[in-house]
Amino acid sequence: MIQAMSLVFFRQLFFTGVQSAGIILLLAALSGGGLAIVCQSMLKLPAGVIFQVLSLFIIKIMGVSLTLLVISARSISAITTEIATVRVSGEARSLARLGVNPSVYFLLPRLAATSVSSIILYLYFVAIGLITGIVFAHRSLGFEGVIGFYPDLPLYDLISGVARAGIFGLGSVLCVFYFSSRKARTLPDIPLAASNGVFLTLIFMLVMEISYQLLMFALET
Amino acid sequence: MKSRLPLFANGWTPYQCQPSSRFALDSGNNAFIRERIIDKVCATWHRQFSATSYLESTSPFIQNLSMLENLWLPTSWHKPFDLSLIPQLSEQHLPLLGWSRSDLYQLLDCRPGDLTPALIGKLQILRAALLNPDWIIIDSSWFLDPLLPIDQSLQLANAMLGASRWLLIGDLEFLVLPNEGAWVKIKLLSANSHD
Repeated sequence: MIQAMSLVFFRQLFFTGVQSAGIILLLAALSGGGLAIVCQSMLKLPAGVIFQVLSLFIIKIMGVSLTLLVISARSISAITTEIATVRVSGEARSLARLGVNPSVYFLLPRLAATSVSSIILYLYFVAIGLITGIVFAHRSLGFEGVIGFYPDLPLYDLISGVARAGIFGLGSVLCVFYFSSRKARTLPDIPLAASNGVFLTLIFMLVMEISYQLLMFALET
Repeated sequence: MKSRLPLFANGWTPYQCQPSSRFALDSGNNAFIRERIIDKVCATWHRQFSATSYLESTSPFIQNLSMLENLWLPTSWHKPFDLSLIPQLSEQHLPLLGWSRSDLYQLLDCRPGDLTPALIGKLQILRAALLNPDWIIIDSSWFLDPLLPIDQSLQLANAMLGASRWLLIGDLEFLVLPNEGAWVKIKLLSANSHD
């Protein structure tokens, strides 16, 4: 059982995590670089302030939202389609008749892999966004100069970002497993289930993020 | 779904059945009830007996997995079983299947969608044989809508799975059983025994 689920876990980790790295790199670089350019050339902010703005914006908001958006669009639709297909085609039932629990086999490894991928991609986004931002903001800074800003990272916001990414990974797969894929009864229902799954996870992400930001605002005031 | 043993008419139980015995369970003409009975029997048999396999025609394999993984999954689910053992253990069945070693490796690399129904049928029997099962549960679709000619299926199944006990589930009023005399017909005690 563990061997079979490990195979699914690593396969899902590769698909969700590794294959999304390119687009996350692009988005993070655009976010960090774009924000740094605006801060420096339009607002004329010094490097230290730019780093503070970057770190707050990327760690608190952009990192979580954009990473989870990419995961929703790429992976959640694929996971929903796969789960709906095995249900509609009767493959899940055949698997159960062979003694393999389809809920355990299809769900648990994907839960774990999506959660782990969300966390790693979020941290990757933050690292790339901050590095790109600092390099764009102060092109004369060397490697030590960039690294010198890192002790000022808001650690609490980073940890909460990691937690939100992990919660999203768990919640999104559970949403599609229990709400979207079960609505598919015939083959034509599958694309609808997939788009419904993406929509549900986006709503879940928005609710989670807005609730978190409101809570932080309430705690600060 | 609870996996207590369903109640069979005439006090029949699967516990003291001889190897190679053949049983046919009448599920009636309601397809929904037949599916529920098969689900119940499979769930119960997997708990009660160490190795149980299953044969059908509808969707025997997961389309998104390679044939190697499809053959490996049920075998490895209940006990540790290395993926590399599948080709090794399959080699003993190659003369019966009519394949060479390179044919086997080629087939294991394919996905079910790339293969003909006849190859799927043979691979399904191979998967069952790899489990070395005490019992084989057979959906009547395996006889009614076979993936390869029924006499070929039976010849292969008898050669590779002959020592196992077979339990066929279907509407026995319309199903013509091959070698009728060898099958013992059984019934559930009541219509609610599939719950």
